[in-house]
Amino acid sequence: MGVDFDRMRRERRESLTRSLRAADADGIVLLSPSNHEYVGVRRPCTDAMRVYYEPTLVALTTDGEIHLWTPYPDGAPPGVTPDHVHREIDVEVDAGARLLEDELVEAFGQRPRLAIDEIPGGLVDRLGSDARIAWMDGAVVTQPARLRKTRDEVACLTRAQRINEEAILDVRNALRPGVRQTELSALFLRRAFEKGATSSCVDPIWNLTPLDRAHQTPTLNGDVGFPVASDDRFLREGDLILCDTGLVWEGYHSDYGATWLCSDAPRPSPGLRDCYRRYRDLMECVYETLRPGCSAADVTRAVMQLEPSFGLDHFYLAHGVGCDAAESPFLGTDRRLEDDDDVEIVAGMTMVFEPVVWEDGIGGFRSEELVVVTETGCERLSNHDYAPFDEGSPW
Amino acid sequence: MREDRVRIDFASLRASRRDRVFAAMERLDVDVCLFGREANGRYLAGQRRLWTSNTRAWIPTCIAVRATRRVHVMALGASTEDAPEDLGADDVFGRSFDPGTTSAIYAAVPGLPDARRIGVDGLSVGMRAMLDRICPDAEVVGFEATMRGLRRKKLPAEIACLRVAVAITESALQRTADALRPGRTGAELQARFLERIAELGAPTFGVQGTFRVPRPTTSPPWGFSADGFAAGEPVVLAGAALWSGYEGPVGRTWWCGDVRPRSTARARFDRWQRVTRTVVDACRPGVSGADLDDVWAATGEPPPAMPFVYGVGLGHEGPIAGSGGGPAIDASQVLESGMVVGVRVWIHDDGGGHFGEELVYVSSDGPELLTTMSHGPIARAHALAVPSPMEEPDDR
Repeated sequence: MGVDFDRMRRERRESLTRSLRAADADGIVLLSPSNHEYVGVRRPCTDAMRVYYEPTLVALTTDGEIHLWTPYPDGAPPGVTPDHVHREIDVEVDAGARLLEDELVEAFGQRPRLAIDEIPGGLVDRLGSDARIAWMDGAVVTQPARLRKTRDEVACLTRAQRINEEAILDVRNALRPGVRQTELSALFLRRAFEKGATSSCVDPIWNLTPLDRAHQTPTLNGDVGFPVASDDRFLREGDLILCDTGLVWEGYHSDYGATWLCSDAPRPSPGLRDCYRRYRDLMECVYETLRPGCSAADVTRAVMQLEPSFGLDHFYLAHGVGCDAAESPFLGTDRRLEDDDDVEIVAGMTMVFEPVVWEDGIGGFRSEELVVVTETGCERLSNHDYAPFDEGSPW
Repeated sequence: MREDRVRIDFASLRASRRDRVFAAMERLDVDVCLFGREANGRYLAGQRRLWTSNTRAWIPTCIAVRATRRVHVMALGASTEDAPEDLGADDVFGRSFDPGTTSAIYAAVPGLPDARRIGVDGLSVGMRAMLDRICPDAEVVGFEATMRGLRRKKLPAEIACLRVAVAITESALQRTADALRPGRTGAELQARFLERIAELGAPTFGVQGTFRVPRPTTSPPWGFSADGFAAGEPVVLAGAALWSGYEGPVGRTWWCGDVRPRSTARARFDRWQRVTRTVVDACRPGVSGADLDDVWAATGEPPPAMPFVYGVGLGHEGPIAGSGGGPAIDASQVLESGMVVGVRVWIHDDGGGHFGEELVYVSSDGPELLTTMSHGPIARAHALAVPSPMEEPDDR
């Protein structure tokens, strides 16, 4: 499926401006890279420890006009008025924050009502009642706007997922006793970028997972230790590996998860196979339940009929995915289930389901499924197999 | 990657950094610091979070309480493996998706509800409201500028960390230089850059890299190209690895193929080297960003389109010279001995450009280059007074 980038930019901006008007805001100021991506503003992929100090700032008006302050002027989307593109402002210091206020007042008029996704360090001391700008919570605007994906966004997510899955095939072939986690990461990144990934968004996880919790990395809640950052530790015959990898294509995040056994001839134990079958049954239940009009809680309740404990205590049944690796909606978190009755499932939502079926002492099965909610139900966008668990697996 | 090896006593480094934060809190009469910025959490607690490129919405993930001298960190997964050894299990807290539970988690941090003055390195409108409920009498003050000041002045062990980070970046860039030949794409070089960093055991990135032909634009090149390079093209190779959180940014302009670099490319390199040497030599204690702006202006190059000197340590530590805020802000940024700065210079004209970046340690004895990588084929080519007939007349 092709992507019409002009259409995607236009439709996303329309969604944001609708949301701005619904929130009765004059505009929104965006600091976070995923929100920049959503309005079509590009910048180099950098670590969280660099993002704020080489800041790109975007202000969007209710008319869909963009004002931009950035060290990367060529990252401006097509159609932005050239005199709306300015040099970057260091808003982590007071003088910079004051400068930003000046420029926003010039663009929006005296004491505008502006949403902001994050308050930078330099603005903290300027939030009093005499503030020149009436700030409001940016999430109120961005979250509803980004919830439903357009067809082009779904195409981007699908492409990102394919790149991830193709790179993974080579990694899975390299999984042998004696290989180091970092060697798997190196191979994964090499293949992913050769296949067209535009950025890496998470340190690849090859979670070495002892079969019982008592022998795992210590955790706050005593549950399975996952995810644990990769290391140069090497893997051994029979190791249970829960993997989790993410990659970005044109701003959209993929999410791949699987359960592997490190072995030249992997043979899952009967108990592990049983966990796998229960995982597949659980996902079938999701595919049957998930449709427009149902609530997030409906899906969780249906799953709980099968598996009362469907995941790790510190995670969830599913998270949304788009310009962020994990974004709204979240299903089956530690929120009270009744609160999720108010979260309506709508067509265009994209989610990653990542249940875990765990039997302590035997181990468990975890995978991830990228799903889009359609007009009548849902569709699985992930396209991976379950080797060495599926029947007749060549592996 | 674990922090328990090679030349550095991390426990002592963590203790020294923590002491400096508590001393600053004492000086500024701040009772509790709430940090959401990764670099500050890393500085205060040595927190090793699973690396992700995007930022997370601001919530306190690292907390310092002056009265107890305790540091509390959030484990985003439940694993406490990313918490340093000097923190106890009680010092690690979980996260929640439920606002009530989240509020209770913070309210349970000993000393937070009683705080009179709370320092923060950022905020969100929602978190501000939550703080008003948990500690209704507290004044919330900005602490980011203070952290920037602390972080910029390096401890000796931090210089060692930065040297390791630079070594990783240089090894990875050298792999891309070795692989550069006609037909190779920027994406293929990027793939090798990230592969090599991961092989060296540090699969995390400050900057994922620039691998492309420099175009005659006023701002420096970034990103990578999907098209194959041609023989006789200059190619920018730049990026930054992270090691134990410390960043090693390095940039070079290489040359594709066995064709001798053109005299125009060599002339741009000469300009680049002259400007870079002049700026690096000026990076001495007491010199301000505005002074460096004057040094740049005196080279005769057009004004830079992005900061050309900036702080480097646990990531980027703020612009120093050539910033978008202008000379008034630059004048307030003063170099001190112990600082480490990135000096990145972009030379351009109608035909093309040359980009390079060096990491510089500002010591009391003067500037020291932490970058060691060569400048490749363009620098090795002889400067010619007149273009050789073997060369093409212009770059593109």
